[in-house]
Amino acid sequence: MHYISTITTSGTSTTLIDFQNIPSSYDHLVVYASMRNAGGNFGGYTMFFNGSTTSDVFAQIGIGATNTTLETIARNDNIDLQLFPIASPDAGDSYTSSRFFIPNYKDTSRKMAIGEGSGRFHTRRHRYALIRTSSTSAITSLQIGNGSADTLAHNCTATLYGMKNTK
Amino acid sequence: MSEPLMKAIVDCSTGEVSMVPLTPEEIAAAEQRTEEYLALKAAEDAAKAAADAAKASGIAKLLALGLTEEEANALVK
Repeated sequence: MHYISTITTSGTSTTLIDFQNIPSSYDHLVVYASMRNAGGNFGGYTMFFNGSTTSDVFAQIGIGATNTTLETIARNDNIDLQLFPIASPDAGDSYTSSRFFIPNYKDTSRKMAIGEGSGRFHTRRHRYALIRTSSTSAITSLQIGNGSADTLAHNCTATLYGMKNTK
Repeated sequence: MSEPLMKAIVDCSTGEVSMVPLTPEEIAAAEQRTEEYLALKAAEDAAKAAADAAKASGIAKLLALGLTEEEANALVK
């Protein structure tokens, strides 16, 4: 796995992280992210590709500390990967930790990505998520944003890695 | 006046990070996500409240039948 780039938020007005000009020299992408909401809304976080907010299908399964029921939420009209679970931004909240695997990101066919994250979010502490993008474009940029209009807390960090199919 | 919403952009080819204000379209999209998210959460809250209420009702009925609280909780776990 090769390091590509990282972003760490330093202020309180950032609401979107944007990896642009992702190199095409890898086979798969991996993202590690530590996020926290700085605003007043409860909020998951969203991931989308190539700046598109309309061409993805999203499903997630949440596992709660007190509720062990698996839930799948399918959304057909938006992009949300609400995989950065976090509750209201009170002082007791910590940064969440999430990772995503985005295989075959250069394919010009529909692609899927899978991720998991842990944190404090409503009744569910751990979530698995699946994105299916209906776009057939190769992924050249990747955005991670707050699920609401709130901003990200300072010191949110997202790091992008590339993987190659070589021994 | 509040600070403008920004996005942090990293150019993966150079590693350069820049801060750029969100466009009106991006702000509108974020606000739409807020509305969608709050609606989703409200539905989840309602479902959980209904499940909790059903569980409490079930435990009460089991207690009325003579089970201990430990036994009732074990059955509805």
